[in-house]
Amino acid sequence: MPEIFWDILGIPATTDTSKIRKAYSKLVKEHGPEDDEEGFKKINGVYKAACKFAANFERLGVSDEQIVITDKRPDGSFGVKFLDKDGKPLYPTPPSTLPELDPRFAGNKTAEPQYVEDREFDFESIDSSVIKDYSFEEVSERAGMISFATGFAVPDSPKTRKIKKFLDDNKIILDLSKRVMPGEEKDGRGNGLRIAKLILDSEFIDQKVIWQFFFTSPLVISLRTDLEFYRMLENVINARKLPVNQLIAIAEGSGMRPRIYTNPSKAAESIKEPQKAIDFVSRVPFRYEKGKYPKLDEIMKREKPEAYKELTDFLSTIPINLYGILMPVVVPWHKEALQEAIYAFNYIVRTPQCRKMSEKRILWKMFVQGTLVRRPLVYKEDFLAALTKQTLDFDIPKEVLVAFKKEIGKFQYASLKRKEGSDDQYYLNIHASKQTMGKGEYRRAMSKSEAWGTTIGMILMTLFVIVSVYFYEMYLNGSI
Amino acid sequence: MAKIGIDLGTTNSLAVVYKDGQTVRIKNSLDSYITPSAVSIDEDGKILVGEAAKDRLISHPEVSASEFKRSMGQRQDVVLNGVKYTPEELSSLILKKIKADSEAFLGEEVEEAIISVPAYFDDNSRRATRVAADLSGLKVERLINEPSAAALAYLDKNGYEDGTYMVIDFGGGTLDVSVVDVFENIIEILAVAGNNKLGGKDFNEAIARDFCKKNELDYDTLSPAQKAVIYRASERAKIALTDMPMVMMEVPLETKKYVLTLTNKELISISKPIFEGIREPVRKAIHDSRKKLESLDRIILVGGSCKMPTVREFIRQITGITPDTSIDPDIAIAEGAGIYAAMKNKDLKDVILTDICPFTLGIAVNNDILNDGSQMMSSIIPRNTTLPSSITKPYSAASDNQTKILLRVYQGESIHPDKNLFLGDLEITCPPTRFGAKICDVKMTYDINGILIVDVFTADGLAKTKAFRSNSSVLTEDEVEQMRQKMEEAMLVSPEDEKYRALIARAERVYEESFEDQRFALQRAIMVFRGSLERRDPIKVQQSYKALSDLLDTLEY
Repeated sequence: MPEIFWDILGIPATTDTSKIRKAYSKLVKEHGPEDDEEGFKKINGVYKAACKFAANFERLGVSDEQIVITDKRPDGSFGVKFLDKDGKPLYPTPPSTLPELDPRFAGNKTAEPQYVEDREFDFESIDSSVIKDYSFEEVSERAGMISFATGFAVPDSPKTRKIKKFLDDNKIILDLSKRVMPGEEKDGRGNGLRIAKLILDSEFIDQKVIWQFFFTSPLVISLRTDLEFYRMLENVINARKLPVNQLIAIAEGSGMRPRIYTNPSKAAESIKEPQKAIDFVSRVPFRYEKGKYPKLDEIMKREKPEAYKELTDFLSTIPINLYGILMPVVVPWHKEALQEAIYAFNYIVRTPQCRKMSEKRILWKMFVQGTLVRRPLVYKEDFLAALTKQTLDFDIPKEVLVAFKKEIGKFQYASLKRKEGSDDQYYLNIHASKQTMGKGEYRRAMSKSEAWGTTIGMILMTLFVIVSVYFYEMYLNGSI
Repeated sequence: MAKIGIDLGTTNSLAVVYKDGQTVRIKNSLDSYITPSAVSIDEDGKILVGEAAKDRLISHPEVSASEFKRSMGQRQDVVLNGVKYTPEELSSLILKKIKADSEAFLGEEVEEAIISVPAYFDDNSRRATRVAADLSGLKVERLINEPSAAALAYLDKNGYEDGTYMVIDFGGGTLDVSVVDVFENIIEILAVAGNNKLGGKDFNEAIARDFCKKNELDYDTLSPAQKAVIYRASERAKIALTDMPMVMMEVPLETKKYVLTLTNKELISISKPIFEGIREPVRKAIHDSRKKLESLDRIILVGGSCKMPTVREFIRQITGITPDTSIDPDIAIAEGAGIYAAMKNKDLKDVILTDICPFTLGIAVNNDILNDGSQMMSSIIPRNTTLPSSITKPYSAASDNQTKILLRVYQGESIHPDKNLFLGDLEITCPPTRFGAKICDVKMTYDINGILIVDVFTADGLAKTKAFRSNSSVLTEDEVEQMRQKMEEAMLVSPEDEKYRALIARAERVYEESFEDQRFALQRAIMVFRGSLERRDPIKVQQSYKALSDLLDTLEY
């Protein structure tokens, strides 16, 4: 009779791990890894196989008598049948698809949210006092510290203390990494949504800060790449029909700019009416202050000092949050980033002040190097295609386009085309279908023209030598 | 003849012996348990090891070395006093010192030892450790992984209670995380993950760099001596932050005094990448062990860096479990090594430790999907396989009428062989077969001593066997022989002499770190002590020794 691993372990087939362990420990004490290497290898292999068996069939909840070994094969494998209590065969049922959610959040179920297709911001109803409370300082502090671990490195202030109290009172533990490790999206997603609902249901005033806590908690950070989670979250939020103030607070807390549009068609529409969008943005009472945005400063410092000064002066005079547009804060993995980039492009070419700056390339430099354009590489093709389409029906001065071409052309083919029947109007032509031009390729293209220059130079040199030799000989012959 | 366990650490080393059912720490000639892992050459060519050498890192940086464990097996030589030393040689000096101290302490000869190594030490580093032990005259049959040793030490104290544990060993230079399952006195290591380039030293460097940045100094252009002073002050500040909310660093350089106040909060913000570096191994160890975070019963912290409250808090935050710090993080590993020595000696019955191989072992094969001549890794022994283990895999011919096979053995997780560690190769001739037909079986055996044996079976029987034993591929026999001669010539300072030299080294170090007004008194005390040593007056020596050490104690907080 062939020997299968239950025979080696000396126990009947079981799904009880403790029984397997007991048998294994008895055997291992006789054949330890120190004394009997071959024996230990065999026992350890058998033990691992038995544990796997137990893990696979534990959920059936069958007792040892209900497991029947049907046949034993020479290679050590075997057939197995499970019986129910009446001795009839029981077939393994597939595992339930979703594991149970953390019971702490189970009590707060609401009806499944519906996606609200056309939802518009009421620009008039924005109460600026809601936003005034919070400075950007808090946001930058959050970027450095809170992401660490919520409640651990958060700056201590009356506001954060209030929030901590709220979290404690409601037994919300945003530091959910203790329950869910990154990678187990299913549990994390569910718990994240439940907490979001809890916060939405509370009548908590400091919405923005609590959303900051939420979005920077290890739980949500671990879901960073889970686009589905963000979509579900959006549905949950939209289903509430919240006042605009609160929506702005959520957007601010999440690091996203207040979203003016929820779908692409709306986005296109608002671009057609740029004044509306600009008006909205200029209501946000933030001004650029030097030294507050380290990343932006860093990029700008790479430029010439006078240009840097000019730009900072410019940024501090305009009443809009240009920082938010150019170095956004839109989560770069979000598909929304594409719309934001197009919006930023439009904003620059349309606003007279920006347009003036953009002629000098520095604004374009920020645009191209900023996280907005550089990071969502996934949407790069879409972005360029959209840009090509968008710009065709605008009147953009030649200088602006030249500056843009010079900047973006560093890594992308771009060309200017003259508009038919017009002398001073051009449109941008970007070869979106072509592969991005790498640095090396660009250099090669450069060296090609240089090579031509060198060849012509060489020919001229040779001609010069020949001619001078000819004259020299004539001189020797006494002709001259 | 005693068998001892040695924790050969990046910054500190210590030895433990298991006697009469409990662990006994071995005191060194300076009456301390801990011997710093530092080596320094004295003016007369004699070699100083331990506390004295650590102090001389500041006063004589050009003839002193430490932290060489980080470069074990990597052929990064250190030049001291014009002589090149390999990390193996330097480590062997420390082992030699520990051996001598243990023999003096135990009153009997010590021949055999168990040495602990970071679990994430690769094969080269393990071999280098064996070479170092060999050079010091110690017989080392077994290396024990540091987290396994720490688990043993913890369990020995707590009666081998059943459960699942996570051991985080965050030492001076390495981080190891392992998941351990204990049942019925069987200690099963389930998974190990780690980073052998992350440790407490990185905190020191982060503080030192921050210090320089805030004081507008350029850390990279400072002289080695200045760097060492700042580095030492950073280390002290880090240690002081363990009990205090805020510390003030004061470092005199040349004529100026530089100051920096540091809080735990600031420490967190300047060393964020280090904290982030802890997260990944924890996640990986849990993942590899196929356990859930919530099924862990306890988290045990060992290693000096785990004394830092910020590190403890960070671990609590990312796991949600308050870590257990009941064992002394400095000595746990040495204790575990001592217990393992006893287990091996059958002094400790009924406890069995099964360890794992923390990395994947495999061979390079042709990429048959792309078929462009590129190679990819075919793993044979996957990581976290229980040791000893032997696994056989069949391989097929890459072309028609293939008669030769070149087997290149690698260790590592990358799919590209050239990104993994190359261990060795063997060439085999075999009867010709057609493309795609089975050509041979490769059997890999990795035994409990960390020796890898590769057997190849072709159609006409066993073709070739190669054992990748210690010191086979990294260092040649000749090199080892050369090292041995060099080390036999190396003279360690005698124990009583060492005590005095250590005090002088400490005094000189403190002198460099202290301010002008303190220097005068110190200078005088050193001179008096030196004079009494030269006159060989035992009573005067006693008096001036006490005077100087008291003065040093008051100068150093």
